[in-house]
Amino acid sequence: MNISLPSRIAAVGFLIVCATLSVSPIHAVQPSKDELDFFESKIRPLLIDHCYECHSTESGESEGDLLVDSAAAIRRGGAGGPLIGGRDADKTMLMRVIRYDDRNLQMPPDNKLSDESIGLIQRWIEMGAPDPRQENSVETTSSPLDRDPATHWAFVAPERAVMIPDANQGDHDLVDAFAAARATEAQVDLAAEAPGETLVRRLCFDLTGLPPTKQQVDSFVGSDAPEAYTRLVDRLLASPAFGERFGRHWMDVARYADTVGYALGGKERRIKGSDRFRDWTIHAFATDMPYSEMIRHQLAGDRTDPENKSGNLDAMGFLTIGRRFLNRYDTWDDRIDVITRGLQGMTVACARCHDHKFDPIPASDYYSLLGVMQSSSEKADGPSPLMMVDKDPHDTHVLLRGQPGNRGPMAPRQFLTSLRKPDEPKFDDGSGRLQLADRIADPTNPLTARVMVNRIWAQLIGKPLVDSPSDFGFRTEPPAIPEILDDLSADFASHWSVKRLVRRIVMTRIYRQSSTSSDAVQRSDPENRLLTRANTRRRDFESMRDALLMVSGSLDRQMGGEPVEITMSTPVPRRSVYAMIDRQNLPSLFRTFDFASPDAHSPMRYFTTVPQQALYLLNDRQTSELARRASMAIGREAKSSDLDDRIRTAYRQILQRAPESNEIALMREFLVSPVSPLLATADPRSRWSYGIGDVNDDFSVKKFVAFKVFAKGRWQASGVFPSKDANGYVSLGKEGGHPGNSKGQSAVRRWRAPASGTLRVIGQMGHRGEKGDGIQATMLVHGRSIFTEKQVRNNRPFGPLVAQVQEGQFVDFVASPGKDSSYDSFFWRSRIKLTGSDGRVYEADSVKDFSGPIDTDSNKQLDRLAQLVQVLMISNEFAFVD
Amino acid sequence: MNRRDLLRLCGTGLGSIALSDMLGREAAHGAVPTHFPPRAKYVIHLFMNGGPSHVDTFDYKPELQKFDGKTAPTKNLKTERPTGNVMGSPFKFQQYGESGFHVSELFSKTAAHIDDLCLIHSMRADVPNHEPSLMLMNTGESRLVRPSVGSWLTYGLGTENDNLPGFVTMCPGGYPIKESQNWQNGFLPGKYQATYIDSSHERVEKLIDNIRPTAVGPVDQRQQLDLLNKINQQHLKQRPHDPRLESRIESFELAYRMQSEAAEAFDVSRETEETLRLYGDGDFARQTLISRRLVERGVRYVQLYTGAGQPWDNHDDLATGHAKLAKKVDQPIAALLSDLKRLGLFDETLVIWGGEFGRTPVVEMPKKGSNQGKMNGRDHNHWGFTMWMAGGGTKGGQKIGATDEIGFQAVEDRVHVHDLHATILRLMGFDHERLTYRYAGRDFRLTDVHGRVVDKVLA
Repeated sequence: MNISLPSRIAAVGFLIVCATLSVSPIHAVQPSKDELDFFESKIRPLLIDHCYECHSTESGESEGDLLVDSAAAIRRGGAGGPLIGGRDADKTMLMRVIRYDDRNLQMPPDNKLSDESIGLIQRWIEMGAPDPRQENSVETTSSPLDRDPATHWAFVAPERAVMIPDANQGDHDLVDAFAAARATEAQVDLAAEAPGETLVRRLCFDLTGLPPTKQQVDSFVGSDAPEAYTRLVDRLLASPAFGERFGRHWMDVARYADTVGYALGGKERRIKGSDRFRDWTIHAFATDMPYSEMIRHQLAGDRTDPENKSGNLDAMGFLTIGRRFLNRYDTWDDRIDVITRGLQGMTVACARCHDHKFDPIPASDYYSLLGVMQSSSEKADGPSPLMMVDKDPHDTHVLLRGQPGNRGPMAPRQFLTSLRKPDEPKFDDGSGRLQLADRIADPTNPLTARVMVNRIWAQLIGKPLVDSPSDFGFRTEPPAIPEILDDLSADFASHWSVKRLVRRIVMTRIYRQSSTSSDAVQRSDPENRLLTRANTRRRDFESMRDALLMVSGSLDRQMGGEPVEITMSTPVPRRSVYAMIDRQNLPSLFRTFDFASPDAHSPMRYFTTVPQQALYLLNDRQTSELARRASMAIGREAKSSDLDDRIRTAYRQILQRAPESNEIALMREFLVSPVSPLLATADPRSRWSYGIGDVNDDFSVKKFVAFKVFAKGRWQASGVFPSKDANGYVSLGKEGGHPGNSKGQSAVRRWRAPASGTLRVIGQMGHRGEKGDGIQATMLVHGRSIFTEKQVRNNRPFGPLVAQVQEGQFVDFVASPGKDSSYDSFFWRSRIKLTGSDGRVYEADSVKDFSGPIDTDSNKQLDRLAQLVQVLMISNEFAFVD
Repeated sequence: MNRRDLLRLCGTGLGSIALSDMLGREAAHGAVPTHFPPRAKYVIHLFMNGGPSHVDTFDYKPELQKFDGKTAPTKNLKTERPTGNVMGSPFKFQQYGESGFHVSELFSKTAAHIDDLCLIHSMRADVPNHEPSLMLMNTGESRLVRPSVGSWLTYGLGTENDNLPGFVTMCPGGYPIKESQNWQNGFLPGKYQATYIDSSHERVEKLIDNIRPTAVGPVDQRQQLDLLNKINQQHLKQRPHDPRLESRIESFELAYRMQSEAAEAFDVSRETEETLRLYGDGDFARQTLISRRLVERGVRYVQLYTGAGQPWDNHDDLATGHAKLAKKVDQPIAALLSDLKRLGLFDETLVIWGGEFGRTPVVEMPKKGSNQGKMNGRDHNHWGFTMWMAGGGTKGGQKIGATDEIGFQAVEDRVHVHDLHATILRLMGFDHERLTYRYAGRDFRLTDVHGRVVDKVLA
C-alpha cells in the first residue's frame, strides 16, 4: 500500500499524532496452521499485488517510510505510525486508509480495494494479524509463482451467469440485466435507446467500417417493424465488408505488415504472399469460421490443411508475418509474443530473461514455447509462402538472462504453467504447435474466450471490459461488472462463432443505448464503467479513409489481392485494409492517424488529435479530389440547380441525414459567395524544366525543346528509349542523365530564377562510364558561361560558382557529347542558393526538386459546392460515430 | 479556491483546458502564474538517444586508462549484456574554461561553454534497456502509458504562441525507438502530445505534410473553416461532455495558423550566412537551428533526437561510432548555446543534454548477433551516467555528484531521473508535487510518488 500521502502536510500531521504511540506485539502466541493458511492464500497475495510496489524491500521503495513485507515492519508502521494496533480493526490505521475514510490518506492510491478484499483484511486483523514473514529475509515466497493461479479471476474458467430475478424490464439478455442492476445500485440512470438514424450509422460503422447507404438508412429509419433492427444486423453480418472490418481488427492483433522490416544490403523487403494471410483473415471472419479453428490454422495450418486445399495454410502468416530480426531469437520472441499476448492475454515474452515479475510465468514457460518455435521452420517453396513445418523437434534449454550460450535447465515443450493441469502430458507430436493450438482453443481454457470477447466488446462498445486487453495477469483488475465478460465468454467458448457473439452484443440494450447523458450521470460515472450509455467513437484511420471514398462515390469494393500503395497524390479507391503496410517506413499518413504499429502485437489503438490530421483533411490533394468528386455526384443527383436541393443532397450523401433549417441557411450563405483566387504557390519543382538543347560553340543553348515523355523516373525524347533518331539516349533523371548523339541533342536542365540577385552554385559531377570519351559539362547564366569542363571517368565537386542573375532568367546545366556519344551517362547534382536583392533567400536542389510532370493546381481548384462538401467531410459529425 | 483546488478542478470536466487557460492567461506572452517565479520559459532537450558513453564525453576518468584491459577494481555491475575488462577511452580529454573541467575531444566545441554547463555526473535510471529507459526519461514511468515531460509542461504553462504547437519533437530520418510514445500525452488531452517533425527534410512542404492548401485559395479556406466551426459548435452543443470534440475543433484552427507561422518558423534560409555557418551542415544542425527559431517564437518544449532508432548505441566500434555522431552534434550544440546567448534567450531557455542512460566503462563481451563478435564497444549503463543542463536559471560551471573511480555507478549525490524531472519542473516554476492532473479517480503527477529537487542546479 502506498502511504506516500497526497499531501505532505497531512503526512507531517500524522507523524506528530502517531509517533508517540507505543508498539506492542499483537500476536503473542504462535499462529495456527489455519491462520497461516489464511494469510498465505488471502492476505499475502493482496499485499504483494497492491502494496509491495511502493512498500517493500524487494521493490526498493518505502514510501512514507513504510514497509509491509514483514510482520515486524507492519507492526512498526511508517511515518504515519503503526498500521495495526490491536484486534479492533475499526481502530487501526490500516483499515482507515484502505476504506478511504480519510480524504488525505487513501491506499492503494490508484484504486480502492474491492469490498471483499477489505473484508479479508478486516478478518485478518481480527485474528490478530497472523504473519509468518520474517524481517530482512529474502522474500522466499514473494514470487508470483508461489501464488495459486486459481486465486486470480482470469485464471478461473468463466461460467454462464444466472439471470437475476428482478431484472430491468425489457432486458432480455443477462448482460443487460447485470448492467442495469449495477447502475440502479449506483443510482446512475440508463440512457434511452438511440434514435434510428444513429443506430444505423453505428451498426454500419461497427460491422462494416463504412457509412450506411441511403437505402440502408431509408429502409431502417422508415420501418416500424420490430424486426427491422434484427434484419439490418443480419444483413450487415452477411456482407463481405464485415469480413474486411473484423479482418482488419485481427490484423492489429497479428501485427500485420507487407514487409519484413529492415533488410541488410538492399535485400527484398516484401513478405512474399503477405496478402494471402490478410485475405485468409478477411475470409475467415466473413464465413464465420469458428475461432477455435482459426487458432488451429494459424498455429498449425501445416497439420490442418497441409496441401492448402482450403487455403488455411495461409493462416500461418499469423506466425510468419512479423518483423524479421537479424537475431533469430528476436524473431522467435516476436512469435511467442503474438501467440501469448494475442491469444491468451499473457505477457510471456517478459519471461525471456527471468521469471515473470508479477505473473505466474516462469522463464521455463518461455523456453517451452521457444522449443516449439525452434522445432518449426519456414518453408518458402511449399504450397504457401507463409507456411511453417516441423523440423527436428527438440526441447531447448532455458537461457539464463536470455543469453544464448548461458544454458540453464531443459524446458520441455509443454503448455503454460498457470494453465496446465498437474498431470498434463508434454508436447510430443512433432514441434508441438498443433498441441499448443489445441490447448489454446480448448473450451476450458479460461483466457482464450475472455481475451477475444474483450477485444470484440471493445470494438463494438468502444471501450474494453478489461482495460489491458492483452494482459490479463495478476495485476489486472476484473471488469467493473465481471458477470458480463464471464457470461459472454462462457457462451462464446461453447460455440466459438464470432458472428454469434457480435450479434448477441449488438442486440443488447447496452449496445443500443443513446450516447447522450445528463450532467448527473457524467459526474457519477465519467468513464462509463457502468455501461449506462453508448460511447461516442472516433473513426479510426481506415474507417475515415473508406468513408471519404464511399461518400464521394469513389470506393472500389474489389476484395483481396496484392497490397496497394495508397499515399499517392490522387486517391486510390481501394479499401484501406488492402493498403501496402511498409513496416520499415510506414508513411506518416498512417502514423498521423494512429494506425496500429506493425512492429508488434497491438492491444488497442490510440486516438490522438493533432493539427497534422487537420492539415491532411484540409490540404491533401486526395481529400480535395474526393470533395470535388462528391460535389460532382451531388450536382448530378440533385433534382435541380436549386441551392437548397443541393444542400439537402449533400447532407444525405455525406452525413446520411437531412439538414436542419438553420443548417440550410448557413450553407446557402456559404454557397452564394464567390470563389477567391488560389495563392500563387512557389513550388520549387516548378522552377525546373528539362529538355533537349541545340548548343552553340560555347555550349550556350540556341534552342530548347522540353522533353515530352516522362517514364521510369526519367525525362526522355519519346516513348521509345533509346530513341531511334539522333536523340538516341538523351534523357535526364534525378541524379544525372545522358546526352543524345551530337551537340544538337545536348541534355539541358534549366532553372528559372525567381528573383534578381546573387547566385551561388555548388555540387558534384562526374562521368562514370568505363568507356567512351566523356561529356562536356557547361553551366550558363542567361547564356553566359560560368563553367565548362570535360568530364571523363571522374567524380568531382564543383563551385561555389557565383554570378548575378535577373528575375526570370535561366540558369542552364548543359551536358553535351564528345565525338563519341556512347557511354555518356553522367552524374550531376547542383545546389543553388539565390540571395535576392531584398535579402530573401531561395534554394534549389537539382536532386530534391526533380519531378515528373507537375499537376497544375489551377485545374483542380474546388468550386463552392466542393468546398462545402469538404467541410461536411471533415466535420466532427463525420469523424465521430454516436 | 487555492491553487491546489484549481489544479484538481482541471482534472474534472475541464480537462481539455490548460492550467494557464484556467488561470485567465494573464498575458499572451509569459506571465503565467506558477508555484514559483519561473526561471526558464522554454526547454530544448537534446536527446542523445541510444545512450552516449559518459566516460568518453563529459565524465573524465583517468583511472580508466590505468585499468585499460584489466579487470575492473570493483565487480562489474549487471547490465544488459555480458561485460569484461575495463576499456580505456579512445578519446583525448582536456581541460576547459575557468572551471577547468575535462571534456573529451568529441565535444570540444561544446566544451567552450563549459563554464555555463551544469554537469550532473550521478544520474541514475532503473534498468539497462532502451525502451523502459526512454519511457522513464520521457514520461517518468517505464511501463505504463503516462504523459511526457513536454506534455506536462505545455499543460502547466499553456502556449505562448497560438499559431504553433507548444511541444515539438524533431528527429531526422524517422522515429527513435518507442516512436511516438516518447512524446505521448498519456491521459492528458490530445493537444499536449508533441508535433513530430522529420527534420531530414528541408522544405517546409516536406517538413510538415500538407502545410499549404493546393485546391482552395486562402480566403476560401478561411470561410470553410468558419463554416466548419459553426457546424462543429452546433454538434458540440448536443454533446457537451466530450472533450475530444473540442480538441478536434481546436486542431483545425491550429492547423490553419500553422500554415503561415510554421512555414516561416521552419525556414532556416531566412537566417544569415553567418548563423548558418555557425551551426554547420547536416540534419542535426538544421533541426538545432529550427529549435532556436521555435523557442524564439514561444514554443515551450522542443525535443531533438540524434537520429532514428538508437544511434548512440555503440555496443561495438564505439571509437568510430561515437566520433561520427559527435561530429554531427557537437558544432550545432555549441552554436545553439552561443546563439541563445547572442539573442538574449539563454537565461530563459533551459537546454538539457543526455541520453536515456550511459555506457559501461568495461568492454562488452563479443556476442554473435549483437555486436558482430567484436570487443570494442560498451554496454548500456543505468547505474551512473552524465547529463548536463545549461541556461534557464541553472548554475553553470559546476559538477553535481560523481561516479566511482572508473565511472561504473553513481556514488555521490545520486540523481534519479525522477529527481531530474522534479528539478526541470522547479526551473519552470512548478512544484512537482503540486502539478497534478486528476484521472481515473487519482491525482497524477510527473514524478508519481518520487522525485526531489536538486537544489544545487538552481542558480
